[in-house]
Amino acid sequence: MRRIFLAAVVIVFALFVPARPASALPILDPGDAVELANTLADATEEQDVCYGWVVKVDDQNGFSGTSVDRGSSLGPDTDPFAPACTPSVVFVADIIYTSELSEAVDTATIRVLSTLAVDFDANDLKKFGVSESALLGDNDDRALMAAVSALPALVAEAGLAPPVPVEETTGTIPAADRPTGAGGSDRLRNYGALYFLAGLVLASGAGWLIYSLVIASSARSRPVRAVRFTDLPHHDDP
Amino acid sequence: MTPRNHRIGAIALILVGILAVGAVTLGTRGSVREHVGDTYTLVSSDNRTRTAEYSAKGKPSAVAASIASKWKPSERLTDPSGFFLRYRNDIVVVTAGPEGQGSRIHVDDERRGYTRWYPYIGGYWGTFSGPGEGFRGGGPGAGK
Repeated sequence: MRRIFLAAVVIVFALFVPARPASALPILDPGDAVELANTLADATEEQDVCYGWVVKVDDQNGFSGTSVDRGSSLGPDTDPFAPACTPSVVFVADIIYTSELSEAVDTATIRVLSTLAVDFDANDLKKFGVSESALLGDNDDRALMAAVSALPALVAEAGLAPPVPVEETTGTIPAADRPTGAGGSDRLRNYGALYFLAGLVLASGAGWLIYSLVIASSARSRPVRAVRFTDLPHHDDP
Repeated sequence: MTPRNHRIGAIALILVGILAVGAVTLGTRGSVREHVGDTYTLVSSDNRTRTAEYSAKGKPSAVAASIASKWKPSERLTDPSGFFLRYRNDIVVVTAGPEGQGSRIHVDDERRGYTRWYPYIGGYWGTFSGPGEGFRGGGPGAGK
């Protein structure tokens, strides 16, 4: 009886205690959050506008729960809506990862909240390559960093602040450092579908030619078989 | 259909395929560098370093989007200072123009571009072994 009770406890524990942490994981790892906050701080120095991000992730798989990813020009994990962060432009996203058992699809909604004279909306970010679907992809951290990094450019292009000047390398970089993994041919990346179609036509023609040679070969061999002596009907002499 | 007709049809299809490959190859010649050179106004260039700078009237985001739609980059990076587009042999950077008017387009070959824009793309598009002079970036997870 005691064994049955223990087994039941183990089963209940396995069923109800989550394998993953009790809250959804943040999108940005701590290093990226620091990097992003520093980038925004540099922009704030130039533009006198505080930037930030708030991303709520509702992971409905198992017991992952909800997490809030946030930060601002004042640092990672700081409240971008705090009075110290004004005037402000903040990227806000709500991401819902639905249960694997659910038929509903994952969703992401994005918006830009601003205390400046001009209102921005999600469409303003689209021209920067920011999209809801990118936040649901495997590179959601890169998408979030791109979206938040675009805010100072968005403000500058609206004429609300000067653009953040670009800084070139002033000296040398470590000798061992070099670009890696360029990502293949530009032409194939852009026109791969056309090359594929043309190749498909070519391959189809080659396949058809082989087929025609095979049926021609079999057609040639058929008459020879028809006159073989052994194939002729045998009749006994009357 | 007789075997002979099959053969004629197949050879015709192969010829169409060869023509299609040729047409695609000829029709898609060029590069992002040529596209930028043909589309925007040259400000300065250096043949020795294969560096060129162009100006455009549009906003940086629109110019970057236009270039990226014509020649899709293998990677892109957005920074408050500009838009970084990576191609096999070139790096294209679109920034705000002087006095915030229009845009500037910087085209470098890959190696020189990586060095020039290392404060932004170092660690993202190549190896990163530590801050160089004028360091600002650091790549994913590098922090500061």
